[in-house]
Amino acid sequence: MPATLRLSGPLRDFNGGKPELQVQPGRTIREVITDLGIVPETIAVVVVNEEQQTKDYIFQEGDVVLVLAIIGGG
Amino acid sequence: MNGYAGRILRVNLTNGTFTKEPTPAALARDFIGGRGFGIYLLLKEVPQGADPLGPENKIFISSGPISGMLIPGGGKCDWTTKAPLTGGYASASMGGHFTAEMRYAGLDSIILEGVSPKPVTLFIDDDKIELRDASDLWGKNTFMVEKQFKDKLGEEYQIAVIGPGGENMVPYACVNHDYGRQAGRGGVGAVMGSKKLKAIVLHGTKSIPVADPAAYRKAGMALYKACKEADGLKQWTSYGTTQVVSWCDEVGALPTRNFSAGSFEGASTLSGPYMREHIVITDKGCFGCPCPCGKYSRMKKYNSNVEGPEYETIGLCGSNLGIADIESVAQANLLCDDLGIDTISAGNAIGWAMECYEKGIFTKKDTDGLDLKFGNVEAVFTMIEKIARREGLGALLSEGVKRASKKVGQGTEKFAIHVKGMEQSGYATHNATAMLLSYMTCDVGAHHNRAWAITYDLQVGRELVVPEKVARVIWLQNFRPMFDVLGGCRLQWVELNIDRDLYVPALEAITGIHRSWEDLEMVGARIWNLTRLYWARENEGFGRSWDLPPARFYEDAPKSGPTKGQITKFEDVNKLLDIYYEQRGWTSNGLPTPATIESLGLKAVFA
Amino acid sequence: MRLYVDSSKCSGCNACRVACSLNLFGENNPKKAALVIEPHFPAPGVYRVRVCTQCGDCAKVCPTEAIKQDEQGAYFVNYADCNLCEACVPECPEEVMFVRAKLADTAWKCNLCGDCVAVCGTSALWIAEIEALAA
Repeated sequence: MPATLRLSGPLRDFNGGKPELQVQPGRTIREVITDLGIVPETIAVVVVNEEQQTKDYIFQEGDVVLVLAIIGGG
Repeated sequence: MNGYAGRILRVNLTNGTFTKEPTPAALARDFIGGRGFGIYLLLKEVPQGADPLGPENKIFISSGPISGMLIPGGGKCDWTTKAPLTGGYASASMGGHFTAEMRYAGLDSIILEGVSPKPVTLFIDDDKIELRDASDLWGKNTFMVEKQFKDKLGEEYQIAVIGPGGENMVPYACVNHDYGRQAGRGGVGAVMGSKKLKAIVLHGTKSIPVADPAAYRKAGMALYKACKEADGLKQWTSYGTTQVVSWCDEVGALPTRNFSAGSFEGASTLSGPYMREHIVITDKGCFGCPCPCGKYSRMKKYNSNVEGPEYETIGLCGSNLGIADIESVAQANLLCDDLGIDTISAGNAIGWAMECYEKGIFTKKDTDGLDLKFGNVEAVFTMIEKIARREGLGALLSEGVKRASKKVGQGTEKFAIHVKGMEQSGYATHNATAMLLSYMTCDVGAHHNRAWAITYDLQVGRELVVPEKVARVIWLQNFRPMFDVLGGCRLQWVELNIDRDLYVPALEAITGIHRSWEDLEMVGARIWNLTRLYWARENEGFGRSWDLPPARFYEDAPKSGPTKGQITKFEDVNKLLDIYYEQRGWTSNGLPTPATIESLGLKAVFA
Repeated sequence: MRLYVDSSKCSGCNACRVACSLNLFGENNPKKAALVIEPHFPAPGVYRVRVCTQCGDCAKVCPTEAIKQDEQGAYFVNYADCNLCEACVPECPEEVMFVRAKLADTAWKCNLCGDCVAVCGTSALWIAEIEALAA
């Protein structure tokens, strides 16, 4: 069962405008978003199943992962 | 006029008179509200060369067409004046409930002019307007004064008040409102103090007319719906701006020990989640906000409460002073708010003094006996008090780091972290060229909120100096301040990533006038150019050299952290300015050309 | 049905009150709202929100029978029948029955329109069956 990666706002540009994609378990969030063309440093927050995690978290089956960037700024 | 309360109140403090003038339709058309009204009125009404703390300077307090409306974040109030801190343009944006109340009292703007012979409070209750004696309040701290008014008049009243910092005309004194919201930067509180105006007390019961009530309700509801459905709502509401502490630490942007580094070993106990778990007791929102960033905290150690600390205060009064204890940072926040001084400038000034002390430039003789090392919490508390009272070393630090370092000399100018005399807010910019340019060219001095471009640096390459980066900064400078013009908050767009086009039908339903973002950004560009012309009008020799960043960011690389050894080359600093001026249509000395002034239709305004 | 509130989730933003006045009067004026937010600051630092429980005590005392009940159980004021006598005001246990003659020619109260719930970003407000939660 794959995991779901959910991208906030402007990050969807790295996924053809779509908010979600399915991810095979076993890789880190950092690796997966880097493959999409997102520089991991631009990600402010990673939320896995409603809990904050680091970008080195490894996708598990059925996870829902939300990554938030602050493109517009503070 | 739909979307406007319809009147501008003029208060002459010298002779105690009031006049109400209709809000000019042309002003609303060309400058919309908020910061737009502010710069127009500043240029027109405050004579060239006015002393910021003299009777000729004025304060322009302005709401905008979305203030007090059913629009997420319609609670921002612009305070424009000639800045005592910089001698240039000041425009401070204050959240809370004041701007909505102004509109319910029938006022789009309040103009404060002249100097009162004695301390007074401006009291406004719908059409009843009075100046009341405030001799008994003079000298008191902000929270006590606000509480006194609320206890007496009720919670429906909104209060803006200065503390001892404003009374003593500390050039970075702020105005306090709603126990924790400020018109913070540039010294608006000092100007209020110079006018002997202790507080403004407001109450209004009027409705704001709108062009199309049904369409307004629909568009407003659509904006709230978008916010509530946004992915980031829960995260942002839990932590507010403190969300970024860990991230700034990770990317080397967290101001640390007077910006000598961008990463702090104590960052984990300053982070949003740590703070939420240990000290936050409730969320505290500004008017109409569905994602309240305000966190209200209880500090057990000090038996006190404060709204905050927000990211900026954590950066400047925490890591920048070598302090990792969140309760102590919150207490420093409380002291600054209660005494009425800006936490960003105060944190910078104390950080600069700590560096002077650690380098041996200051000894205990200079510090009134304080061991002013980084991390000394008690020394920080004492210095905040001394700054607000302008006592001992506090008198020097109250001048701001530009003037203080000029007085002290000995190379201390090199680590005075400011642009145009305004201390830099909470992002270290050793190696983030778009963010650096944003600080260099910001219209009030080194403040982050006009253009926040640091993620763009990270995405495209932080040390790169390319036209795309400059274009991004300019776009942000034209676009983001429009929220301050409209009288609202940009964070719903920033944090929740809601579609900005949702504001367009809302604004149209309120005012009856359709305006696209392209049109609004043009207004933003006009305002940006006017502020530039204002700086030049008020400061002989104003130009390129005023846009240079603190030397630290091109001479003095961090010795630790993710930006260790990294720095922006001075030639790149100049290259950034070359490209920026060219894209703005300014001369190589950074002044709008006659053609640019003409093309933006500013000839009539800036005559 | 009635409106419920969890005051601990309220951030005091007042969006609910603007939405309320817009529904009740077609105006943009939170002073004409039918729910109240009491901020208690600087200490203890909490908001207390008062909302209508649809208990109907206001309707019982209304001499002109201006306060009626609709099909979902909400008591509402028929503006044309209100004579501003204020008899209802002291009866309200939550103090959310309003007469402010300067502001409106009628008494007003919560009519359970739900707009406050729709705009509340912190989910402090919701509408539910009265019995379900009382149990």
